Amino acid sequence: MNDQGPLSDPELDRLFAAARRVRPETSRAEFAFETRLLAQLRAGRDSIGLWGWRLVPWFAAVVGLLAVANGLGLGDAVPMPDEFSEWLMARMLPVV
Amino acid sequence: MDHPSGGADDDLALVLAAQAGDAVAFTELARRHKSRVFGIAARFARGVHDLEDLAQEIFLRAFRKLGAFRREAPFEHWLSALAVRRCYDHLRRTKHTREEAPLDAIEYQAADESEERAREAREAHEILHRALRELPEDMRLILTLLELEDRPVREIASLTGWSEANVKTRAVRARARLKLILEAQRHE
Repeated sequence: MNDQGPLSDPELDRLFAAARRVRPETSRAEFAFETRLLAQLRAGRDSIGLWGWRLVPWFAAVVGLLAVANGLGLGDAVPMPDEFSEWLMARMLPVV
Repeated sequence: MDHPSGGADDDLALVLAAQAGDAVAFTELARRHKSRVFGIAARFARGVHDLEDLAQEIFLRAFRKLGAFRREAPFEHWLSALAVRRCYDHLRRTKHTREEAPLDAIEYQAADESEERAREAREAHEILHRALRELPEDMRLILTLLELEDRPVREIASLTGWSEANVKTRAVRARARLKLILEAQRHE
């Protein structure tokens, strides 16, 4: 590179042209890459399955709690959506 | 499952199998196209380990996004575009971490047979690499693809998702900024 004056466009072009003659050497990093990738893909899939199984007790607990709440008559405390307006009117009218 | 070991014509069969969840088919695609992805990622990675992580991230994302591949362009082009965008994200993600020479720096090999020309090429690469690190990420991406990878503007537009006019404008600004950085560096 020239050490005097501002850098001209041809100088920059020469620099780029010279730098284009070197290429990154990636063969070492590429070695057996697909084997590692396959392991990662399988590990990812296993972890999704594992999380699914881990959540099973929680789902079971929620279903159990709902069943118990229903059995105790707590289900009536909160109305279903289609009965909501009736329920609301019944509670709001005395106040108004 | 056995997979054909032929050329690009077989990519489609592998893509369809991979879209159906066949991980082995996808790794065969990775084997075929890894050089292209590593070549792109090496320009933006900070060392060999960073390169391996980045390449892995690109392929894992490609596997997850494979359903979005519409076969309008060859698979290798779709993969290259995904690689370029991940590299851009990588540059933006790491912009606040100071970039120092890593212990596992990626090696660059000169194609020249003459030792003097090879040395000149390595020196030019070193000077530019140091200066490019000072640029904003979009400028670094554009100049790397345009000037170091020697890709046409149209291809860069397609890889980045930016318009051709946008690529040209960014390239002009990037060159101007790079010249200032190089001038400052040679007076240090």
